[in-house]
Amino acid sequence: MTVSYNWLKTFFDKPLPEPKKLAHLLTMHCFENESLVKKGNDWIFGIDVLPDRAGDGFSYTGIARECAAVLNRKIVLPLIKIKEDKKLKTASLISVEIKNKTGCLRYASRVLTDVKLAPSPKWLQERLLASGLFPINNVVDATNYIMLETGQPLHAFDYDKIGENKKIIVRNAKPNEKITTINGREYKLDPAMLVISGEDKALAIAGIKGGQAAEISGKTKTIVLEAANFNAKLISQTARKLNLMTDASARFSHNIDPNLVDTAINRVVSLLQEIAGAKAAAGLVDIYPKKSLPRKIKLEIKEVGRIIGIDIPAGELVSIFGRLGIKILAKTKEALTLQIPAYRQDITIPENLIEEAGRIYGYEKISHELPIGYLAPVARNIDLFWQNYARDIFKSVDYLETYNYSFVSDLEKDIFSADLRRIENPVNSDFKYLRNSLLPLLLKNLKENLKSFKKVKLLETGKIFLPEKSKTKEERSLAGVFFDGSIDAEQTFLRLRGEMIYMLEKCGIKEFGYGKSRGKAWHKDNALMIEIKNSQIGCFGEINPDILASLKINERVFGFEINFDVLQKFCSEKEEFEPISFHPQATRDISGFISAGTSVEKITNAIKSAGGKLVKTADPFDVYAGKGVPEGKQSVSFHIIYQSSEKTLDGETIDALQKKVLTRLADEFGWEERK
Amino acid sequence: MDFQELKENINKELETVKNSRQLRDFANAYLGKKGKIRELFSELKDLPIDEKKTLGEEINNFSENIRMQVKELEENLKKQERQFAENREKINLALPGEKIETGHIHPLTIVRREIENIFELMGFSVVDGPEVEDEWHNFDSLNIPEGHPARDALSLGKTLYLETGEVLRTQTSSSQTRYMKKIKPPIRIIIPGKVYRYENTDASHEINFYQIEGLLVDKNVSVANLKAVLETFLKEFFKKDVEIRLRPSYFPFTEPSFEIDMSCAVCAGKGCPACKRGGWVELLGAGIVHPNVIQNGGLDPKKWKGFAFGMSLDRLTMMKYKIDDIRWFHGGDMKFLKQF
Repeated sequence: MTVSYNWLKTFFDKPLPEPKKLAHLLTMHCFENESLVKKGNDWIFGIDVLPDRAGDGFSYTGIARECAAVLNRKIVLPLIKIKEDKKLKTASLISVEIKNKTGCLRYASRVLTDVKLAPSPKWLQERLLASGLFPINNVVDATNYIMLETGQPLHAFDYDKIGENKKIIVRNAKPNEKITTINGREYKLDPAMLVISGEDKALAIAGIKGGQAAEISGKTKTIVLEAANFNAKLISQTARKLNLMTDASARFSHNIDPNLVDTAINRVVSLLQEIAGAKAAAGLVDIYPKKSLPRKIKLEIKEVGRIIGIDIPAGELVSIFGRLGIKILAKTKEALTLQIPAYRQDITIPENLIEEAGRIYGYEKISHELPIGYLAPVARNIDLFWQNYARDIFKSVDYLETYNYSFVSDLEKDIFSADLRRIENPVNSDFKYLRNSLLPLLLKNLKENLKSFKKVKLLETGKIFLPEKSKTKEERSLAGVFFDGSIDAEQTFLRLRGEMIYMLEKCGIKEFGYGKSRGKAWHKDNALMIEIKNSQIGCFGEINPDILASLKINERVFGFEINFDVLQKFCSEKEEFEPISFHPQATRDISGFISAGTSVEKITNAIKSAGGKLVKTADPFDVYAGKGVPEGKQSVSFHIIYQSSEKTLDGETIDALQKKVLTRLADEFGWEERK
Repeated sequence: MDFQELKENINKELETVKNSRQLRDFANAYLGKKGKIRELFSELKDLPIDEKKTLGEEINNFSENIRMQVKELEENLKKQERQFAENREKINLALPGEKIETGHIHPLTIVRREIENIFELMGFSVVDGPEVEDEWHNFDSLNIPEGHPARDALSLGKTLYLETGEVLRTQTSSSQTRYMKKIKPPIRIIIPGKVYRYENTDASHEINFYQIEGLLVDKNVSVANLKAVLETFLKEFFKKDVEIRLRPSYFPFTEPSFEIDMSCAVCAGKGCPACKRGGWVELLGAGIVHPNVIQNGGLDPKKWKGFAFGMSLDRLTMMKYKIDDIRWFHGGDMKFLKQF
């Protein structure tokens, strides 16, 4: 709220602290003061009234009350002086009917005749301008002025334009009902919205903006003043639906005290008699079906100390509540029974009062006291541990970790033919669906980076989202993309394969195999699925060239995507030192033919399992197909190192082992030894 | 062989020696146990005793002389050869170092780990919650029921909905009641994670960002505890003696609620461009957990109290590295990622 220091001063009979000091006090005890600017001989505060205090804080009276509480002063409210024309009865000039009583809690009306429409006096114009409003004419200015003063939005209609039977009806809008507001814009309303209506025609959107139909004009002589109270939620939703936020809707969107209505309407009459020479009809037409009464709350004194962390002396508490206009109904050693003024609609539970006490007393007076707790180690989060561990593994093989949004667009949906969860209200078309894979956006990152880099290795780990009937399933994923500019794609693939094995081994996974890759993301031949004990962990290999073409990436790109939730089930931290043998090693090389396409890693595993503990390593050193190799076969050669941790192996033992290995290879893979 | 002849041969041959290997061959040929000079001595035995003596002496002198020369030459050659090797092995110290390419961890991960470590040392466990939430957890559980003024502001203004009616969590606080139900108090947890907002992005607003939620539930929990925990955390994080101040604020899920400012780490509270001359930097929101939230977590609000706080990981990371635009974090630009 924009607040003029000069205007604020009129609420006090003694000078206020300097503007800077006052701004600081407000920030520390009430609402943050976001700006303070000197304007002529005035200072303008930008006060960020807290949302729960919009009902009373969006007014000079509200801000003055806050100053009074902090400074321990009394405020002086402006006087109400009305001269009523006894011959003219408001009730005979106008009637009011509330059709929707949950939407409109109170509606009060007054009629003023012989209104002389003119510009407002200078002092009033200055105060409006200082508070960020533009002067229009004395009638409109007076309603705005009193709204700023009291927090109660007000409206003035031209009496001659409200309809023949002079009846104001508060009702829901009719289907497709239209209204043109005073700023000349037409709005289409729906039956959930509330209007102020004449016999048939809507005169205003209730609590938000007046209409052109009964607008004040140069010819206006007689006016009907409205002061009402509406359901906060209804006003807030209407304003949002119409995208029409006004000074009135901002106030009505929060709970305003319905008791404020008569004060405010009488204040505006008082002001208009002063500045527009109007005559007031006698009495108030006031429909107020259910009077709002002040709340009573019992506060246990020790709870204040328990929650704030310091004991505020009981006398100090009583003083603070008094300064806030809270009445002490009863007082014992243990508890206070308090009556909350109706304008503080936000105070409903003892905790609200503890906050009031704390902020006025001063949070800076609270000491620092570390909580007392058990000396027990914190529970380790195993999910986070492994995810962090995986990040470090990939960092060590040169990946750059990146973060992407959780959203993808129609483009990615189409390219990957993905079944995606749709966002009902996307911010824009790039963010239309939740991602079900990390690859689409990683490939997008890769494409962008190729403009500046010759080698791109990117990693991401995060949630992906899978549609499941009426729910959305979250899974953790770990994915990477890889382009190294090499012309030898097989070399790149082997590097990637090595990285996968390195990752699995680092995670304590010794046994794993490969299957056929799955999903549109992958090249139909050049990709594999990692399998552990019949569980599919994820794929790696070359990205589907069709996808790359659709993304306009003209390179052969590799990548991987792992279902991290599944992988983690197999991860283990158990690692043991393997004793190093000092007995001599014996190396034997073998070469043979096997069916083309047989996984070399499978052969390695078979050698190790046939030879048992005595096989130290079995490394392939040549894999070859072509000249000299029979059709449908490949030639494979291995270095096998035999070593025992207990003794030197003699030739006979080694020969026997070698024979066992070769027999196993022959049985399992149809291994033919190459002479 | 005649001694004179041998003498001449030896002297001549010595002049042709150019390197250590030749010198070694030379020494072996003439000065060794089976060398030519030794052979001369065996020829002496048939000579008369006088001659034997003089010639013997002469050969000995000569032999000693050659030995000296060989020794001197050996040292010279070694020196030469070392010089040669040194020249050949010389490294050009003017050349630039090789550029090392390694992997990098995202700054949000780095800072998140730091924060998690500090809180773990203070006895807070790190937990995670779902990003897709139901409306109850995202709003109602946090004391933002239907009809509450904050509900519309959040649900209509800031929340992303899925076609199923589920919502993307707008704050990590949505997990608070889940853990109240799951863990027996006392509870000390932090909940870091991704949150979602309906937002038009700019240098300081994102539709995706990361929050770190803190929650402590125990029998006696006060604002004084909250103040101490947060100040300890900030001192550890900024590695500086920072001060904090509490200002009144409003959140539906805490009462009392605070905005927490930290004395500016750049100017130590004196006022500088980083803190807009105010000396204080707005850092996080916090408060005492609202009794309705404790109740929604299945606990008795008379018995159990709690404090909660929420801060933006992105903002702390931006402060730490002086990053000027939040959009770098989700940009995937390697020029950015390689800096951390």
